[in-house]
Amino acid sequence: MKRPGGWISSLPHWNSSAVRIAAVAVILLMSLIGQHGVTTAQTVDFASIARATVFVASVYDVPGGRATSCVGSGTLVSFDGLILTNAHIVADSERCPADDIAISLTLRLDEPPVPIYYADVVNHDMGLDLAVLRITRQIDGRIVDRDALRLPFVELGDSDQLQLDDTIAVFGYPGIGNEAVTLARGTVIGFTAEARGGERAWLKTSATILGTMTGGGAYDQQGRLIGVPTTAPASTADAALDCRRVQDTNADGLVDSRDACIPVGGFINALRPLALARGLVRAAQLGIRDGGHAFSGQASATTGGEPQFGPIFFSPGVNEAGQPTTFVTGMPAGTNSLYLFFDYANMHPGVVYELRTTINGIPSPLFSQAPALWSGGTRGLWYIGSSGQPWPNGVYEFTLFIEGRPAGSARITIGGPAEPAPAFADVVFGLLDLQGNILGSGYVLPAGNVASARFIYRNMTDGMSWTQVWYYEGVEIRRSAETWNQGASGSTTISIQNQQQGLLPGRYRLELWIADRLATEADFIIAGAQESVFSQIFENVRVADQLAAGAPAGTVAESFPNTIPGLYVFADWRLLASGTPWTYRWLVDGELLFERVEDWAGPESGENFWLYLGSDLHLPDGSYTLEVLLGDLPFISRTVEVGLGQLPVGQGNEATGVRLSGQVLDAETGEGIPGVLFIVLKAEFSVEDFVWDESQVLGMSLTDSRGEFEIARLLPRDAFYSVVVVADGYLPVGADGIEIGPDAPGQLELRLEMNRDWR
Amino acid sequence: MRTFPIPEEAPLSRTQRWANMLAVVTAVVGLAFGFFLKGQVVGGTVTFRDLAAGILARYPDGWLLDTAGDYVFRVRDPESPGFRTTLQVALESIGPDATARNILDALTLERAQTLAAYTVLRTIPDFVLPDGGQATRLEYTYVAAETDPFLESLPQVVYGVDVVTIKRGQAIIVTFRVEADRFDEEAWRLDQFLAALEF
Repeated sequence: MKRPGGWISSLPHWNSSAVRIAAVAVILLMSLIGQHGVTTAQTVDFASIARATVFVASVYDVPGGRATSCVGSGTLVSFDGLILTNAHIVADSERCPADDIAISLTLRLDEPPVPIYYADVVNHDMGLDLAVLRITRQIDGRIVDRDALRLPFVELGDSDQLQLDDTIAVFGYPGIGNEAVTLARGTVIGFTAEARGGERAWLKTSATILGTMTGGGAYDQQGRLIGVPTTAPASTADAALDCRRVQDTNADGLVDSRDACIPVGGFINALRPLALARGLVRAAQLGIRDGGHAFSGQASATTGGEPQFGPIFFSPGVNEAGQPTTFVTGMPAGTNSLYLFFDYANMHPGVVYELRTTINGIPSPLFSQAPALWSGGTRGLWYIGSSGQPWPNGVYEFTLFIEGRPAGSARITIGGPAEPAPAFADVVFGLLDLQGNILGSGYVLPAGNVASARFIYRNMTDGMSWTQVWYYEGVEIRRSAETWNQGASGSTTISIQNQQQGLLPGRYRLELWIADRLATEADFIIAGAQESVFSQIFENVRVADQLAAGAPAGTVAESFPNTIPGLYVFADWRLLASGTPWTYRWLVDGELLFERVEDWAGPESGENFWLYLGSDLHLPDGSYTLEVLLGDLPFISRTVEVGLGQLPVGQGNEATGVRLSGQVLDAETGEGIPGVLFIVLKAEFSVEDFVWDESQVLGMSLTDSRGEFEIARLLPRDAFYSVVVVADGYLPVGADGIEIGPDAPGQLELRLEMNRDWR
Repeated sequence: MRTFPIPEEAPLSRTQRWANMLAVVTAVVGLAFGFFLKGQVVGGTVTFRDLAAGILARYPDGWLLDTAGDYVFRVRDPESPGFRTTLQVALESIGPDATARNILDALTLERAQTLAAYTVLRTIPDFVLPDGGQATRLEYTYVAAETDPFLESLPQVVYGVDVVTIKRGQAIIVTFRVEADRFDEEAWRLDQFLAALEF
C-alpha cells in the first residue's frame, strides 16, 4: 500500500537476495524551474511549450547535396511525434520543393534548434494552410519507433472561447534555423471572418510575430494551444519578397542571386484558430485520411486563366448562406460590422492573396490580412470582414493583392450620422406557391421553368428607377429596368422564367440596382430534380467497404466490423452542372475531421459517384458521417457504424501533468552520475510493492553523461508517487510519498545524491 | 667459534594435528560456502512462465521484466553500466516452408532500417542448443543511442546474439544484447538462459 510521506530505503529485490541495503538518499532540491518565467498563470509551463515547438524545414536535392526551400515553425501535439504546422511550408510545390521535411528540436532553451528527425505529411488542408506531420525517421534515415517516442507536446485548447483582449503567447523560431525559440506576447485584438472559416476564420493579435514563426503555436493563459500564426510568402518575382540566400543551390561555387532563396516573410498578425485545425490533428491521431472522390463517366475539363478578383462592395452583414445582406457606400459612426464582397475567378488553394487596409492613409494591421493561401474554390463570391468589434471613424482604403500584385481596391468612409438611403436587402430564392409565398431551401432550387427571389426594400420612393439583372454562369440572361412603385418599405418578389428550355442547372446571380448603384446581389444554384419545393440531387446512397470497377463491392451495409481499411460512400446524381461549388465533410462521432470545398467536375448526371475515407490500417471504432453540401445545405448526410460505433478512449496522449526531470549526483564528488536508472512507479504501487515488473512503471529514464534524467511521460497531478533509483556501484535508493499536488507547477526538478557501495 | 645445538622440534600431539586439520577444513568449507553464497546471489534466477506461449524460462534475479512489447517477455539488467544487458524471447508465426534463416533475414532487414550501424558479424546455421536441439545463431553489432533527444549520452556499441529455432510451426527467437566491451564477461548469461529455457 502507498504510504504518503514515508521514505523507504531498502528494496524488496535486494531483501530477497539477502543483500542488506543501507541506502542514504537525500533529495536536495525539488523546485520549479520556470526558466522563462511564469506570468499569465502559475501552472503554465513555458519551458515545456518551448521544447514542444519545433523548427520545420523543407529540404530538396540540388546538385552536390541538399538545400532548404522553406522554413517555419511547428508544434508537437502528441508524444509520438505529430506536429501541427502550416501546409505551405511542407507541401511539395514549385514554391517549396520538399523531398524531405527536417524537424529540429530545441535541446537547450537558449540555443538554436538541432535537426533530429524527418517527418512526413499525414493530413493537410492547403486552403486553411494547416498540416499535420508525423515524425518517421531519424536524421540519419533510420525509421523511428513510434512507440518508443516520448516527446514533449502541448495541450489543445478551445479557440472559440477566446475573447477580445485575452492575453496570448506565441512561440516560434525567428530565424532560418540559427536562432533560439522565442516568445511573443500580445492580446487578441479582433476576429476576421471569411467565406470559408466563418466569423472566426482568423484571430488578430497585437503580438509582433516574425514571418518564420509561421506554423508555430499561440497559447492562452492556461498554456493551451489556441492558434497557429500563419502567413504565406507570395511567389512572383516582382513581389517584394523577403528572402534569404544562404545556399549554393545551382552548384556554381557562388551564393548569389541565381541561387534559390529561403522566404522568411514579413510580420504576422493573424492566427488560424485551432478550431480549424483540430479535425486534422484528430484524424492524424486516429490514423484516418481523406481518400478523395471520383466520378464515373467523363469529367468536365477545367478552364484555366490568371487568378483575378472582381470589384469590391461593402455590406454590413452576411447571411447564413454567405451572401451579403445589402451593399452600402458608407457607414455611420459606431459601426461594428463591415464585410468586403468581391468575385473571384481562376483561384486555387496554392494562390497567395492579401488585403492591405489604410485608415486615413495610415496602414491598419487590424483590418489588413497578411499574405495567406486562398481557401476558397475556383470562382464565386468571397467575403472578408468582421463583426462585433468597433470600426473607428475614418476613410478606409482596401487593396487586394494576388501573389503580391494589386488586384482591386475600394474605399469607404465610416463616420457621421446614419443617413437613411434607399436600399434593397436580404435576397432569398425559392419557388412561389399559389399564395405568392416563397418556398424552398433558400439558395438551392430544383431545375424547372421558374425561379423567384424575395427581397426587402427600405427608404424607397415611388418613381425611382431600379433594375434587376439575372446572370447564368456569369453571363447576363435577363435585364429589366423598371420604375419603383411599391412604396417606401416592405418586401417584394420577382421571378425569372424560361418556359421553352427551362432554367438550366448551374450558378445564377441576381443583381438589384437602384439608379446606377448596385444595391445588393445574391447567388443561387439550380440543381437536381424537383421534389416538392426542394431539390433532389443525390439518391441511392450506399456505403461499402470495397470498390470494384467503380461500383460498390464487398459489404454494403450500415454497420461494419473494425477490420475494414476504409469506407466508400456511393451516390447517383442528377442535374448537377459542372463548376457548381460543393462541399463534403467527414465526421467521426460528430467531430469534424475533414472539410473540402470544390467545384463539381463530373458530368451533369450519373451513377456511382463515390467518396472514400481511408486509414493507415483499420478504421477505428466509431460513427462515421459523410455530409455533402451545396450552398451550405446538406444534400447527403449518411452515418454508418464501425465496430462498437464509438471512438475508443484515447490513452497516454493527455498533455496535462507534471514533467519530472533532474540530476543524480555522487554524494562524495558532487558530480553527475551517468547511467543511473531512475524509475517512477505508477501511483498505485509503492517501493515495497515493486517486483521489477515494467507494468508497475509509469516512466523511467537513464541519466545522461551529466547525470541528468527526464521522465518523458507526464505525471498526473493530485497523486503520490514512488521512485526507485539504481546504478552500478552505488547503493540503490527507493522513496515513497512524493506528492504531485493538484496545483503543482508543470515542471519539477529533482536533485538526488547517491552513495557509493564499497562492499 | 662456539656452536649451539639446534633443539629438535617436539612432535605435534594428536590433538594438535586434529586442530590443524580442522582449521584447514573449516577454512575450505568457509570459502566454499562463501562462493556458494556469491553464486546464489549472482546466478540467482526468477522463473517466468507463459502458458499461452508454452514458454518457461529463468532470468536473472532483479532484472526488470517487460511483457508489454511485441515479444513474449524481455528482461533488462537495471544495474548495467551504459547499455542495459537484455534477454528477450519472441515468437513468430511462420509458414510451412519457412526456415530459421528466413526469420533472421527478415530481422536483419528490419534492423538495418531501425538500428544505427547495424552489422551482421556471423551466422552459425548449425548451432546446437543445450537440450541437443538445432538452432541458428546470428551475431551482430549496432550502435545504441538514447531515444530522448533532450539527454546527452554517448552512443554505445552493442553486441547482440539471436538464437532462432522452429518448433510447433512457430519460430522462437531468443535475443541477448550487451555492451560490446562486456560481451565476454556476460556471455555466460545467455548460455545459462538457454540451458533453463523450456518451450
